Amino acid sequence: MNRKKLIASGALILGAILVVVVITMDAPPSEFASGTMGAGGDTTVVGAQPAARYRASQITSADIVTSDPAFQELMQNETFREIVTSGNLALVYDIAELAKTANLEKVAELSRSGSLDRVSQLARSEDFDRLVVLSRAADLEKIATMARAGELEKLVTMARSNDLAKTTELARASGMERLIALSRSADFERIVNMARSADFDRTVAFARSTEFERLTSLGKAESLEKIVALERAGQLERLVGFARTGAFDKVTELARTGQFDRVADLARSGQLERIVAE
Amino acid sequence: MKLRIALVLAWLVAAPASAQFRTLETPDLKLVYFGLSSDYLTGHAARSLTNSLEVYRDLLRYEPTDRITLFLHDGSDYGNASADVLPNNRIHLSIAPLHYAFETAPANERINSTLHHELVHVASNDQAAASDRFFRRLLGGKVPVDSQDPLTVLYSYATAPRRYAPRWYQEGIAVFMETWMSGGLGRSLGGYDEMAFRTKVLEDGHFYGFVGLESEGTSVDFQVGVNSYLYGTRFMSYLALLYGPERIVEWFMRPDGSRAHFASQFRHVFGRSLASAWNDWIAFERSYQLENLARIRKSPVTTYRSVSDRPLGSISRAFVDRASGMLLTAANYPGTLPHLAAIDMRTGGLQRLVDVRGPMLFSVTALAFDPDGRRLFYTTDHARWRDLRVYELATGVDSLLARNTRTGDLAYGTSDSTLWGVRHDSGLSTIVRFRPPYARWEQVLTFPFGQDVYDLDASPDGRWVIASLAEVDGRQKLVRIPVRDGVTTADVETLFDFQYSNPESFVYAPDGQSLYGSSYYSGVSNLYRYEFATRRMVAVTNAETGFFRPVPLDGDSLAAFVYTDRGFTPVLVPDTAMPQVGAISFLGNDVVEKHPVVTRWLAPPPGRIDLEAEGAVDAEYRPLRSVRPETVVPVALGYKESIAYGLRVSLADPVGFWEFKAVAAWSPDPSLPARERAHLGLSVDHAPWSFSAALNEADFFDLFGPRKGSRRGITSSLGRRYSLLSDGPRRNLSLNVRASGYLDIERLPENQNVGVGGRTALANVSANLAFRDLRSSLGAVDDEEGVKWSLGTAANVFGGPFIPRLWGTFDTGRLIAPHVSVWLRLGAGGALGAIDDPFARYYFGRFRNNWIDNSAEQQYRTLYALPGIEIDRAGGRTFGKGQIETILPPVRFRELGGSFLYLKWIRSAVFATGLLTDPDSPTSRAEGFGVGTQVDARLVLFSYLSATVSAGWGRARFADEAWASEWMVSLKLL
Repeated sequence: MNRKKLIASGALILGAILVVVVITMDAPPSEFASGTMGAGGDTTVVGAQPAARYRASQITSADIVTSDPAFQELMQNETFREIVTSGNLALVYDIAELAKTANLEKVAELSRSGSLDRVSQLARSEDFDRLVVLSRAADLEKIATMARAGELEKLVTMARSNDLAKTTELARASGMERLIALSRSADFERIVNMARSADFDRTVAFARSTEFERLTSLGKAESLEKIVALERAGQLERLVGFARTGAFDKVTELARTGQFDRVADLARSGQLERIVAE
Repeated sequence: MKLRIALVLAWLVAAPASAQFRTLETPDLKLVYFGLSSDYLTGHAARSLTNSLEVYRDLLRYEPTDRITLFLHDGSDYGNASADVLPNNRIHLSIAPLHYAFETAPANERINSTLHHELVHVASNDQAAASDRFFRRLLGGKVPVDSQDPLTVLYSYATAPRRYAPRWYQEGIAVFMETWMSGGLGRSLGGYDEMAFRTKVLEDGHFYGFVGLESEGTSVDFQVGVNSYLYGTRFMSYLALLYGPERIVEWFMRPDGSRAHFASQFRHVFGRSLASAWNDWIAFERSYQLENLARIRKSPVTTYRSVSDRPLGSISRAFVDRASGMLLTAANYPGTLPHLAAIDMRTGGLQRLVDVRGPMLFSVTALAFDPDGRRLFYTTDHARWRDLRVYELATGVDSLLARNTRTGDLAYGTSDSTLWGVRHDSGLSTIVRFRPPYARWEQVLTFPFGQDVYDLDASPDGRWVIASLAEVDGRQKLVRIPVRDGVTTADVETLFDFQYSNPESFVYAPDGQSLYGSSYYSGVSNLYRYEFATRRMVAVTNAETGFFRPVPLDGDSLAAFVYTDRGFTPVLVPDTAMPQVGAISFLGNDVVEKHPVVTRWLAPPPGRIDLEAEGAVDAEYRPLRSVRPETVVPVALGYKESIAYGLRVSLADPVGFWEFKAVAAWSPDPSLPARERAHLGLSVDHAPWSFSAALNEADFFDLFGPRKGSRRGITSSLGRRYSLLSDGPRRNLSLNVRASGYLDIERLPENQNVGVGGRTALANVSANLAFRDLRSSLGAVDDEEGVKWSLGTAANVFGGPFIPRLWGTFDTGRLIAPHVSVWLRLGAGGALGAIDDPFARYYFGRFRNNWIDNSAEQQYRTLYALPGIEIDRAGGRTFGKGQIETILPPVRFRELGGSFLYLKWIRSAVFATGLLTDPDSPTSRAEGFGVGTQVDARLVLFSYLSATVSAGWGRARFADEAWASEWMVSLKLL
């Protein structure tokens, strides 16, 4: 080979080696195989090189087994803690009972929703027993829903009635959503009165039926007392039966227009079908 | 649930503390816990300890010599732990989240990693070579040091010599092992450690020798005890790099054939002296950090303007008060009490606003600022349960808002005046908020155990809160949480995943469009800007040491703090975007690359442990039934002018609810009457009760007079302590009541030179109400400021005349210059009864130090001391006393001595004392006056055991007597 070409080739090779050496010397510390940083996405900092630090695989939350985390979360609530440290042993038991009936997660949910204050206010009142009974019947989550909506007091009002057992039955029968819906209505007192009646069992039976919403809609009318009167007369079943028909809306309209007396008379006489015909 | 109801009831009922504790036991472990706050963690803690122990059985060839007691508690707002092996293996573990400031703590699941760490202390100090086993059999176990009996120093060293290795050694090996067992998450791979040594090299700072580190470095440096961790961890990593990690294990374990003293063992393993290796490490460190500095300087280094030339030591988050142009922060540096400070950003002048009680290391306090109301919200009492306070800038009024809120990481929401914070309770992190008047917190979002949240800030529009979030696996993220009711962890949005670097102190820019914070992302703590519009994280600085805690300013600059060897200094830096910030090397990473054996030290997950298979049993903790013998040691006691020889037996339960000590000794001196040659003693401690009884009580320190505590006769005493206020170890109010009985005595129980005038049977009652509120600055060796007072009363109720006595003291002191404090100490007392009745008189005289003593060395401060005149020489039925004392700055010594024994500091004080007795009696009234000085030199033996040599001179006169002088020399042991 030409001597000059040989020298030039050697210089080129040497230069390439030098470049490689320099680049290698300036290279950042090698990232250890077990852990990397700055892998892209939202872990990459603009303008900064991540440091290499060895990281092996780590334990995860699955490796940490704790018991009753919901209770501990509840203990972080100041209201609950006040109750616990208030020295009122009866209250503590009540809260515990409430939690036991509905399970701790529900109580924790109450606390998260900011409604535990209200529950605890109730807990300090004489109405708490009633609330506990209701919660067993109707599922604490529903109470939580009411509490969030600011409607817990209505439930308490109902609970205060001497017919708590009946209210409870009604709650069980109708489902709490219905009860909540009723409680929102302006005629809630009427519902309560109905519950207080001696024929409550019948009301309950009716409440279990799928026509309860219809009764509710009737209940909004001013002639609810008349329904109650019908119910007392043992003729509510007729109305129920009729409510199952497709003409019930028409009955409702009649009731709203002040012709409910006529509806009631027809019901008593078993002639409701005439309404349909009309 | 029934269990919890029972626990809650137990908690509410005023039962003894021990009645509320339970245990979870296996053959290896006795886990003691308080039912309500810790029970949900007991399984995990037990599994973690068992898991770590299994690793150490294999890796360290370690088998515990007794069952390990693990005490879980929630007594502090930040997690910490301690371990000891004397007299039994035990670990105390606080379940609270850790403090992650400046990446000084790893962010992985803390119970698992902490137990890796603490078990190293147990293993390295408990393992016994043949000689240790011999002495343990001879003395009934591992002997702890008892300040009443200094001979126990020798017994203790003989039974557990490695226990007396210095702290840097103990913590260095523990951090080293913890890092590799946690898969690299630990300070052996920590950004703060790299920064600390890089800064020393940059500033040509002083590297402590291994003696000087303990003598001075852990006291005067703003990092105090953390220096032990820094140096120890670093030295271990250096040795591991040079010699291999297995040699570290060989050094710190104590199998047969190993050397007792840690330095001797070092030479045995490494073939060279510890001192030479330490010096070589320092040389290596300088070279290593120069290379890192070169890497940093490959890109332009951020220049900054210092706001203050004075380093502030540890610092909190900072704010700018636009009304005054002052930078507001909290600072803690040697020579000054920790305080809130206002720094003039133009002149650098610093104004102290108010002291911060019970500061945190590194962060001092959690600080938040209301710019409109010009109020600083801050926290105190960080070693226990934090309080919330507010300081009004305009008026200087400082108020307590709420006690024991357990809340920090404060952030103020300017849109609605809400104060946000992170509350630590039962091991959980909860974001809470305080609405005006900030007396009550509301739970907002509780994170599951293992997730910790810290460094909050609120958006200017009030819609968001940002935070740093640490996950179970140690990953850390910058997150954002919406402000609304019913928020859950599912609503937490990750803005940026920093993986294993701390996102620190991120705060909103005033326009809410970006965030500024710091991170060790490149290995160096730099400032970063997160831009909401682009979702980018941008590097703002390139530091040689480290930048922290940015405060966005108007314009194009940021206020921040730069790390220096003497602490953090406020600076201004440009708000820009760095084109390139290079990464540095970590010494720990070099270790694992050169010695991949450490990767096999990774501990398996604790969840694999089946506690049922381990035979775990959960039961009520019955401390009295758990009492067992601990040690049986020979004793030598002084009785009058004779020596008695005997044995002392100690018994206790593992947690220390019950402690029994019994001693039996015999004086062979034939000059003693036969009835005075036998000596018995019994003491029982069951907080808050204490009981003691003795026959011919003898005392080790009576061997070295002149003060004599030994007495002929039978004595018994029953006492109870009422804690009326407990606000930290240095601020409390307590009442101690005691009833004592004496038979066949010849001298007054409290006055050795005063006879009882034929009355040989006595019974008396006493009560003492004592308050103290004392503070001292970093680097102090004495209380420097504060108040303490006491009120005592006593009376004989049988045997002697019924002469009630009443006395009181009042001390107040003030720090007037760095480590210079002036104290005024007052006392007064009186008694009913005849003026010459010995039972009705108070006696004064002398320094009251014995030549060898175990009482506080500054006896001249006590009520009955009057240096210069004879002991009990001055007396009166009523008295008033006053003393002014000036305490001068201590002189510290870096390297005066060796690992066995070194001189730590010398302290001096001067005082003047006045005494007036029987001021109400014209015939008996007398005055006394004296001056004096005392110098104390603190020595450290075997790394942990303190001894103080005191020398004093006093000159005084009393009544019409001539002036008299007294020289005092005393050695206080332990």
